Amino acid sequence: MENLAIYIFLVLITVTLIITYVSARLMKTATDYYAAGRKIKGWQNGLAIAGEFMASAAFLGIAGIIAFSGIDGQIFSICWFASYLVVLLLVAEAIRNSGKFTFADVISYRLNSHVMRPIAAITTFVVCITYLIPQMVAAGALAKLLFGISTTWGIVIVGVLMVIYIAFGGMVAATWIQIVKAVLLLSGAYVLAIAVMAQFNFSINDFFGAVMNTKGLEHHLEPGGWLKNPWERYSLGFSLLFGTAALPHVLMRFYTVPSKNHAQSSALWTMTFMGMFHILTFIFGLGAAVLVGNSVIKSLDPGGNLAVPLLARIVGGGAGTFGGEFLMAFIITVAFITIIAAVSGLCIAASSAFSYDFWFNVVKKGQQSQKDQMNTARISALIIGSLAILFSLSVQRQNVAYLSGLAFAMAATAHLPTIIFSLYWKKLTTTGAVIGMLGGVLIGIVLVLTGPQFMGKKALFPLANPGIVSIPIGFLLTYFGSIFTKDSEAAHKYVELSVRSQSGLGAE
Amino acid sequence: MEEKVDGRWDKAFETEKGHWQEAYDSDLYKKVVRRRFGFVIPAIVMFCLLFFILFTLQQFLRVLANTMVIGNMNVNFVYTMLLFPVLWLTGLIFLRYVRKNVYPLEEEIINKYGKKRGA
Repeated sequence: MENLAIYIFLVLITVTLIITYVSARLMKTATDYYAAGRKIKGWQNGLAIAGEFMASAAFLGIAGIIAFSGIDGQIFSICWFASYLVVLLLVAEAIRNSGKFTFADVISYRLNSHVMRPIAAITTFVVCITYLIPQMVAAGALAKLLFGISTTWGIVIVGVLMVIYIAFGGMVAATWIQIVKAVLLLSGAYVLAIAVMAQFNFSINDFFGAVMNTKGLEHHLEPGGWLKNPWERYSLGFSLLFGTAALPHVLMRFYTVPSKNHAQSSALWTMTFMGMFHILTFIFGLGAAVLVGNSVIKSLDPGGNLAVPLLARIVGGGAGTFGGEFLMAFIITVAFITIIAAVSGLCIAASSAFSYDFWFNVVKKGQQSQKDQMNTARISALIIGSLAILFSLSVQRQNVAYLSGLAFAMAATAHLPTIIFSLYWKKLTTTGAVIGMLGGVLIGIVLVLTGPQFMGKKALFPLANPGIVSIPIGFLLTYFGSIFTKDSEAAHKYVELSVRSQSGLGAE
Repeated sequence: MEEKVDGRWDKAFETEKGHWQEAYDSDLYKKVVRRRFGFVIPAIVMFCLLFFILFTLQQFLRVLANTMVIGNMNVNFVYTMLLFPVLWLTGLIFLRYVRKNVYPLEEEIINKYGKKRGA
């Protein structure tokens, strides 16, 4: 089985390297590098963004939670999907109209850019690295389970591939690799879902009947198996729903399309593809619990990440059959490619924070040739990749799953108030935004580190996902920081940003 | 305005592309904002309400959530599954609404108040 998975893996890696080679040859300007030349079509961008949210957490993680603890795990599926309606309604067009490559463009439009850009660069960097580490550690663990190589090698392979894609291929490669992956993942998911439902005569009734008749799964269709603290559900749910609109690597993708029209349609395409995938997650989770059995899944990986691959083997024909082994190898490889594509998207967001927001705009004051801009971007991708590999290797033996929650909490708390107020509130001042962003990152860190994910049962703060507390605090900090300070230029430029974001006048 | 007081004239932007204040004060712009937010605000309120109902159902109204409606499918499952098409359709309707009712006005603003590149 390991050999088959490795062969499929090598074929797919070759495809991604060809994509990177072609992308590198086409790249001539900074716009090509950061925004794929603004030539990505709406549906393509939709697939790429959906790809960011159909990563291993979605494919393997949600299924594991549903298999072990029941239907509560669906909260990730429905909320991630729905969060793009918020993006479509509130930010997609406005962000596309008023920026160039990163969301820092939007927030430094009205505010003092010498202050805002370095801060946005730091928060973007911190958020992306915090997101990268758990994914790379997960990739290492998966590589060990799946291909039989050591965790260290797994992390190094993912990190090196990521740097190659981003340093040479930039956003073009990051987008096309994400598209290829999303198509593979969707096809794999549909093959698997059809194979599972075939066992139950394609009847959800029979399927659920089987779930309720299996020992230990009697209550799997009822909510409450996973989220025990009543407020945790609201907090997790609403942070997932509104936090996406503040993720730097997601916002960056809205600059890869030619116009505001395409930006909006790509948000709807994202919903389409994510909906197609996330509507199936209950089949994987419950299917694995019924057909594979939780004791078998747990014996191989207590985290539940192997629920989907094992399910694939059973419905493909069982262990030892070609169909079973092939389907399992295919699913495993797609899951692994999924991680590489996702970390690449984070890597380009983190490196653009440094090379574009900080180096180009602050240090070089916007004076740098196209070639130099691309070289700085490549060097920062290399540095960030190396840092990510080193950090991941140093924490590989610890459970770092809480870091994804931390990244989401920091992004939502620090970025969301500044983005929303920048676009829609005239009285926002530079001081207010600085207090809100730095305060938001700090609050995110403090609440997660004193919460149950990090401190376990002795937690000082009761919620693992602090969004319901931290996001309002972020808004309040920004609000009070603004009403007690003056920034006449920010108020003056509000007129310009409003017209620009609402109508597209002057947009790139 | 030429003096770059605190770096606000970011080189990343060419800011002098339009008659911003005139555009901002125009009826056309007010109409764009009114039409867009006439859709966006009710949609966001509905969105929050739908999810508030879902979470409350799952957390505090378990008896109702666990009631079977269609065969072995309970209220919680049917409600969650219905959210997928409902939210997607909201997005589709919004996009069509904006294209039909807001984009033409935006084009007018751009043509009327935008300066040509380099002008």
